[in-house]
Amino acid sequence: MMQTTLDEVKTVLKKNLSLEGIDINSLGEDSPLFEGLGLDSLDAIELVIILRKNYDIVIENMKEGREVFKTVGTLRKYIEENRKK
Amino acid sequence: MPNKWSSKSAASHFFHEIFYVLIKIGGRHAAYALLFFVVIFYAVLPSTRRKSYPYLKRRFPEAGFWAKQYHVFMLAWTFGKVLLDRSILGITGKIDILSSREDQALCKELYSKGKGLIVVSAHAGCWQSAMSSFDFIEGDKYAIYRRTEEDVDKQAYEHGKIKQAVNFINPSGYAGGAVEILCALEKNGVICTMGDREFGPQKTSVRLPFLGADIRVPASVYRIAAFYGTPVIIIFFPFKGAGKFDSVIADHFFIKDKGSGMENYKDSARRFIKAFENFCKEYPYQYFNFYDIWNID
Repeated sequence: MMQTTLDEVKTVLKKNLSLEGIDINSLGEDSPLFEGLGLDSLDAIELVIILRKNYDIVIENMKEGREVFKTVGTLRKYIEENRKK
Repeated sequence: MPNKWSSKSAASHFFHEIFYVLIKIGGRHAAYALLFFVVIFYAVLPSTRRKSYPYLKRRFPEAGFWAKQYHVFMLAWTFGKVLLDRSILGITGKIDILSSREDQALCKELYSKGKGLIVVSAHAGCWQSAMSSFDFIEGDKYAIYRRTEEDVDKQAYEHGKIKQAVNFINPSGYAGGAVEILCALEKNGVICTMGDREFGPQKTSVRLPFLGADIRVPASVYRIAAFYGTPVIIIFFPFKGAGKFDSVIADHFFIKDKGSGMENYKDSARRFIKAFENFCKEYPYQYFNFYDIWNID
């Protein structure tokens, strides 16, 4: 398992999503992604693409996607457990 | 002017049931005969005219008063026949699809690349019947389709005679259905979407002229196609008379991955709009759009 820090995930989010009006430093493990950051369908597309491109991770189904994108922490943990690069 | 899109059916559940019974008892011609009088009634309603004008006044900018009434009637008449044919398909299983062998071969060739397929169509012609009988393309099919409880008109497969050929992805669902779309493509699925109308947030679309004025055109699907290397086909399903529709591939292409911004995919959206304008020129009464997509500011 390759360690993935909260800071790494936050950096990736900041770089790839348009998080206007969001203080990225204030995000913690429990910060909800969709309700909290106001992410939308376009951001969801980019999130799935980030996982594929940066970590070679494939989201298998909708149920898994819901769990993974619940909070910044669930995303970090999922990356840590499944990343191939 | 109606600004908010709704999938609410014009008639009630009861009137739909009358048509379903008539199809079973009298067949297509009996149902068409009743439809003719129903369409005359609807065509004179101010609300029908108001909902039809945003499109018709751009498609027929020179039309005078009587010509406008005729265009409203023809649009409603064609729409009615298309909806009836969808019900007839569902109840009797009968419909003629006139797709050319060349188009079928092209779909197979593109799908054989192993990257899935993105089929972009429009709310025009027999698109709903086509989705219900889309068997000339292999693979699991998914249609991005928003339906509310106010839409009481049955899909063809809901009548029970034919199998449900596609799975539906609700763009109003979790994350706008984006996760489901991407999961489907990972499994070499076929995604069918509408390229003429934007349902998501404004940033998922680009601004382009259509029939002389700007509209918001969905672009996120081209971003997805670019990332996955998925081929895109632009296909329309013109109504060709009672119980017949064609499938016409107007364009097909691969898209270079240019990153996340929607403006990077404006050229792809423009290709769709150009093809769709040509469709509207050839089939002026087959764009079933009853809200003002041009009212975007």
